Amino acid sequence: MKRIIAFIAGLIITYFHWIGLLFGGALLGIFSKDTKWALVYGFLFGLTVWILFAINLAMMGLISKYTAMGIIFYMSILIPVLISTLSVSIRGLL
Amino acid sequence: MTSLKDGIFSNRKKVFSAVLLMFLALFVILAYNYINLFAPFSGSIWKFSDGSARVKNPYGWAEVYYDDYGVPHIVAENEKALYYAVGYVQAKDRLFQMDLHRRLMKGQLSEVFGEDLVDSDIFHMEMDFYGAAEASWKAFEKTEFGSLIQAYCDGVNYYIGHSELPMEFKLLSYKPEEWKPADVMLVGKEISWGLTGDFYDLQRSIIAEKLGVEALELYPSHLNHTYPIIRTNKVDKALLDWLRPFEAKEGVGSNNWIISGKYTKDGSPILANDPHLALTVPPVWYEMHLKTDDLDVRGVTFPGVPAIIIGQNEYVAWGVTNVGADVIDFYYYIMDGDKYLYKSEWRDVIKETKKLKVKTDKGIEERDITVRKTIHGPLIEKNGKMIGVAWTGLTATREFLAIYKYNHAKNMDDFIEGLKYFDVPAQNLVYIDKYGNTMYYPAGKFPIRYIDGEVVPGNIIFNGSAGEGEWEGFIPYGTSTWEGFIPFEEIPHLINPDYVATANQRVVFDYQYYLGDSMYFADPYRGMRIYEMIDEAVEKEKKIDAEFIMEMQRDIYSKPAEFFVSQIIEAYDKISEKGKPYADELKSWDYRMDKDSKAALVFTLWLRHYLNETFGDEFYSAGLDKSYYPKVWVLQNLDRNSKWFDDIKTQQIENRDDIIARAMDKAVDEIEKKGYRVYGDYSKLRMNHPFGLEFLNYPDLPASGSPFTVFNFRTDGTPFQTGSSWRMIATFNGSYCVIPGGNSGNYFSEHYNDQIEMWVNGEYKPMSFEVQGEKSLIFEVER
Repeated sequence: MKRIIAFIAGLIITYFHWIGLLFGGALLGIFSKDTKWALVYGFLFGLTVWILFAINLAMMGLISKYTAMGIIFYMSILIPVLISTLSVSIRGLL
Repeated sequence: MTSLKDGIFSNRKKVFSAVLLMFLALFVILAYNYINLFAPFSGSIWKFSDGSARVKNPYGWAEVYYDDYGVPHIVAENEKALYYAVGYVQAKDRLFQMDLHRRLMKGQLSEVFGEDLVDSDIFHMEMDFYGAAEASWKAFEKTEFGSLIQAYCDGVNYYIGHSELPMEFKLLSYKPEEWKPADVMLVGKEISWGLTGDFYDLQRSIIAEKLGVEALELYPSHLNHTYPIIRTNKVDKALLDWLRPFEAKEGVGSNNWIISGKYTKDGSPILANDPHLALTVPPVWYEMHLKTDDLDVRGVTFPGVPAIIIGQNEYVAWGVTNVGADVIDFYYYIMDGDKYLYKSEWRDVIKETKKLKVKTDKGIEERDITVRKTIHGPLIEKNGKMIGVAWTGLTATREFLAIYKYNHAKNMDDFIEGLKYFDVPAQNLVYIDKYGNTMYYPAGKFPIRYIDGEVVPGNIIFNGSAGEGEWEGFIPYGTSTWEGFIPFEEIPHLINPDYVATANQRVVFDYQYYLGDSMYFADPYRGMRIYEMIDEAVEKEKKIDAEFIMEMQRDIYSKPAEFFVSQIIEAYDKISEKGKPYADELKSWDYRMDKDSKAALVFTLWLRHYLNETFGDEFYSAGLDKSYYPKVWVLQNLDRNSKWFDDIKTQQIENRDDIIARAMDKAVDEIEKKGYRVYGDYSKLRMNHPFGLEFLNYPDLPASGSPFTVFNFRTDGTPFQTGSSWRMIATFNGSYCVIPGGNSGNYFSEHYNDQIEMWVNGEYKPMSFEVQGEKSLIFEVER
């Protein structure tokens, strides 16, 4: 339950600011039972953010323009996945 | 033992976590700007203005409706409210383009793009185009259009201050300065320079110096005047090489024509216009429809300018092509340090130091640039060589007042009143009205030059110290009185002609004043073809309608092909066995520059090699590249045994047939090496955004047409392409238009390039006066 709340809270914050990726990832790390699962949840969280973002652009009719953006397109995938996955490592310090 | 193991394991985990967190911190620090730009949802690049909005307007209410092609239909309660909305809307759709052009003309590109553009900035600062724009605004401020320009700027600035900036600003990390009335004038200076800022006089001097005065037979004057002296050693080739990237570009030109009701299906006149300018992303033109109780006008303008430059209203329609007249002169001086001799008197060069900001790895670097001026205008210096420049645009000019009057004209008299203010760039203006009138008037300021009291042509470099070739009444960077220019009434023009076609060809035979020599005027092929088509229709008593005019604008028949192919066939026996199958393609060709034609491919590459094989030996030996070659028309008319056909690098004497055969071999080699199959493999529309990011470019498309066809498209393998930057057919029973690209400069807009395929296929959309589309922007009265 805690992980679901963390996941949703992270998504909501990420909608407004990318700090939500750090926040969501960190909470998922804290509420995971071990590091391996924490990394999986963090990765899935980042991936979910990106998928929702891509769906949002698709609904606006912009998906082909988005995928044509080259390095910017790849950066927009890398940023959520990397930040949220790495953020879970906070659990190791607790 | 177990607890020790756990402890070690726990410490390892901590170290591992700490390493990952350090890596995360490093990523966030290094990629901070990119994260702010590209993070999903919150990244600033994903935010753009393309929806509806309510905006405060200090001048009154206005509403903006965007139609199916992103054309704004702006309706307002008064003109100030209208122009405020126009400013906002143009900023919304084209702000980066507006700022980029302002930076170019003010010499501020290197502040954003770095060292590569320093030379461009130095040139534009030395010419002080902005000083001329400020002079224009000073003279303009108190006119009826002045307060409207201010309202327009307020609209632009409201957008800059309150709305989402285009993505280019975010990627470059800067915010545009506020838009000032002088910036509007500066856009006019840029367009004018792009059409008339030619260094042909300097080029002519260099050609005479390097190839001998006899080479000037390749650049004939259309005047009988035989003023013989092309002075040499006054201009250094290195100076000219430095200047040439900044002059008006090759291929810039236009077509327009009018046909009176006498020959049309519905008995009312028809007007066609397609200006051939650089094909850019976004397009150079911005289409809009402006409406108040007293005004209903639609057409195109340059982003940064609030009024319609080419278009129509309820009563009149108008179109322009470039006259191409010589409105720029160059002067040399006897110098002594910072003084120059002028009419037996030593004068100080006026000097002003300006700061050039350059983006470098270490941040913004400031460099001092000295701007020098003489009594004639700016003094351009490179490698110790100096040349004075007088250009009609470097003074207060009133073309925007003219355009404002065009927008409001209700009849020919109103329109002619506006024409009187059209100072620069001199334009072949064609006009029709709903009462059935037609008109052709090449409006503009054409200087008259004198030496020792005698009128002389302007295609030489004048002795500025002796006061030669001066323009009476011209005050650079001030308000000119223009008395030394061809009086408006004496400019050759036609009132109510049955039909007239302009395609940048020579204006008139045997005119008493010099307008320009053959370097200034275009090859006559397009003009010939347009007249040929109209003549034929008139002869056959065909009743002309908009459909017929569309066919004309789509015409890809090549007049040079018609002339040159007969020369190729005459030389057929000299063509190699390898070249003959390719020459055979030309025998049954219909001379149409169709993208699917193999013959058009062969002809195009052959002509390029033919020019090169004819002139390359002499010109390149003299250090002159292909940009100095004479016009195609001159080549076409060279005698079969002209000395220019002889290759100076061989023992034997070559004639035209030898060179035709040699050019065919070269063309075949190129076709086979590059794997071209048809013309469209070579003739490709490549419209690239100035930013260099591939996704911002328009799609590459094979294109029919050539520089010499009415359906105009010029490519020579360089990124700079020109073509019909706006096609318009105006009638009073339905008008049509298309632009090469889209009306919006915003990448995420559906109107970013929604007209590009229509344009390349020669299709049109209606240019309706009905207010169409959804209400997107509401401007409310500020309380």
